[in-house]
Amino acid sequence: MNHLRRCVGAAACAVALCLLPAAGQEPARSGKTLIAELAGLEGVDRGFRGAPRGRSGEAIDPGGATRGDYVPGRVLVKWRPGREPALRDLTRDGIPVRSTDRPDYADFSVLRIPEDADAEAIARQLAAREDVEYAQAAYRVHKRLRPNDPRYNMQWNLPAIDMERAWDINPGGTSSTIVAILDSGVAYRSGIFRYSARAFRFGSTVFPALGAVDMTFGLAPDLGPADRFVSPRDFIWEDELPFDLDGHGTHVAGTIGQATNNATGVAGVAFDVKIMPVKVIDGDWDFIFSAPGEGTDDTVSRGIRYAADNGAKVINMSIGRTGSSAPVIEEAIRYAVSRGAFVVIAGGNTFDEGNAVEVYSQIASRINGAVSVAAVGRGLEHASYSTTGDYIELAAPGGNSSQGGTSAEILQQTMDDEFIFTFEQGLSRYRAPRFDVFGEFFFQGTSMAAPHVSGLAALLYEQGVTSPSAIEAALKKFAVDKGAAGRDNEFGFGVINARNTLRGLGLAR
Amino acid sequence: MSGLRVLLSSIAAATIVSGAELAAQTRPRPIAPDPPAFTVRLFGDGGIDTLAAGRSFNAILGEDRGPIFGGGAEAVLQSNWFVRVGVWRFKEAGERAVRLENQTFRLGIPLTVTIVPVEVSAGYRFPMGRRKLLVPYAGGGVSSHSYKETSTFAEANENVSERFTGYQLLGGVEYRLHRLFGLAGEVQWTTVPDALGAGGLSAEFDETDLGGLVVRARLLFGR
Repeated sequence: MNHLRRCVGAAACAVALCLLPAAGQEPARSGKTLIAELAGLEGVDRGFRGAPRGRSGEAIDPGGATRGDYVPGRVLVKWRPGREPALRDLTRDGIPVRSTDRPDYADFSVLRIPEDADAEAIARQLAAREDVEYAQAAYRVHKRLRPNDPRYNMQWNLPAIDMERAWDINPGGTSSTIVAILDSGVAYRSGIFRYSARAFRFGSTVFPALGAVDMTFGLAPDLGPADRFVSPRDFIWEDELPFDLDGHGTHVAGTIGQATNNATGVAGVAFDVKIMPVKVIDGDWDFIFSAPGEGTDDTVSRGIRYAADNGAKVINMSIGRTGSSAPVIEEAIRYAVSRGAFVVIAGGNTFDEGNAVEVYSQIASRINGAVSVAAVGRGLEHASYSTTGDYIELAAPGGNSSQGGTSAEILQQTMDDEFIFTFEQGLSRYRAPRFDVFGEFFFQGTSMAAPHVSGLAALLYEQGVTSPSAIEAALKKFAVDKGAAGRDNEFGFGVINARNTLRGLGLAR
Repeated sequence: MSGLRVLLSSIAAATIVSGAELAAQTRPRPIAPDPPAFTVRLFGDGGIDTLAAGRSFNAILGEDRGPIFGGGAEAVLQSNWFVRVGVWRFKEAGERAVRLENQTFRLGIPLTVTIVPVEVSAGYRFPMGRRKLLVPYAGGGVSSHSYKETSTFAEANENVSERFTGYQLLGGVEYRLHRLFGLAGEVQWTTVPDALGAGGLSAEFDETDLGGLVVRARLLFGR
């Protein structure tokens, strides 16, 4: 579980710093060579891997009628056989019935009552009569997209932003909207590629060079189909194969667009949108495989411009850094917004480590059309790690294991870390990794919060709010205020509410 | 011959005179009956309601006006005063929307607004001309407006069904097409204060009045 935690937030870059070339060893020549396409081959799905001990997930209210949620003017009554009273008898008994009707295919009657009458109270009054078998208000029945994904009941984060009712309005978007994921890559396709693994030092242990290794990649089984991925681009390897060698980007992609209601795994917010995998940060294996690039401001900046130029309407950046300003990033985000892309940036995970200012999210707060996102836990409380500051604009579920343990984190499918981080298992078990074995894992961080906002932004875009600045305004307008009244440094304008945002306003309410 | 003519003429004249005297003695001279204290007419009308909360309605419906249809009954007193009870309906479909950065985005979620005012009005008629075919009139009154707003994906308690009190001033001209039929054109200004503005787009636009200006044509049945 330690290395799971390590995946938290934007730690992918930092992890690479732990890995230093072994002294005297020359890095192997960088590159990856296609060995086999394995077209259409999904990765191995090992199912739920991040289960909290002794807990199998929290039950979710399946929805349905609630008190007061009935059609006014009607009460449904079943009279006891042969005992249906005359209307005047009901009126005499104080039941304001205007008419009665027996519809087809019904063994009950529909009593018409004044629309402003309390149908539930009248139903109770009727039910108490001896000539009534049962009586009830005409409770409204709603379509409910409650995904049948088996581990959906462990995804507290989606009901927390009223996602089920939001899906009634917009069930997962369509393929006309592209969401770019600027991250460590995405497990978006299969194939066998040859890499060369150099020697390196991890902690005090020197791991030998493995030389040429044929790596098997798989499409994340619960993220496909393969044709939903568009314009893939890798700015670390400078090619069009943005494989995720870390797991972070695939997890983020899952929150945005995990295949949903497919009786597999878990669910995602905007499960029918197109995904553009853009790799802009490197992981441990990118380093070991001697990737030519690194996740730096210039790499990220290029990724932002690439996404905007290739049709992304939402750009998710669950990445960031502290330190000096980044004008190259600010210019790129302004460019993307000017091209009609809404940019979402993780607010940072530095709160319990000094609360250092997150440069990227600070930039977002200056740009109308880009937002910085803080994380909340299952109780919508401020997550213990989530950076605070005057640049935090919104909050979304990112998980908070400090209140609720691991199950209070965010569950999505990604690569099985047991098969990736083999060097963490000691020198004797060190072997080439596999990127075709998947499972559902709990992660936490503002990295996990941001994709909720990105997914919702994609749905809102499809509802007709297409301007990035208007999307930002809508998300803020319908956010549920938390913490201090109004905007505050922990939650910004509040926790996003998907249903209210997509539903907008009526005339009088 | 001339003596005979004189005789016949004399007989005829005597007969007419005696007949007239007889009639005068047995039947009263016909006179017009007293007019009734009031007449009751029914009416049906159609027109256009231009709403006072124009920006709110325009954001939702795409326009700030819509057709209305209604009817009622009117009692016209001999003294030219009239009392009227009428009901009409405005029902239009639009979409839920959101106003962001001074721009309205419609969200594709169907919404229906139904306004049904029940009006009681009184006023005075100014008959013109000997035959009184043209009758201008003016008046005012009070109304009770039912306002309903329903939309797809709404929970029951999220739809709106409320009633508000309004006031109206009206004026028009009636023209008699026939002894039993008339045609009227009417303009009515209605105010329904504080019916809107507590939420939704009407709050965003700070529009609170559900009233508006109604222009309608009316077909009258009755004298």
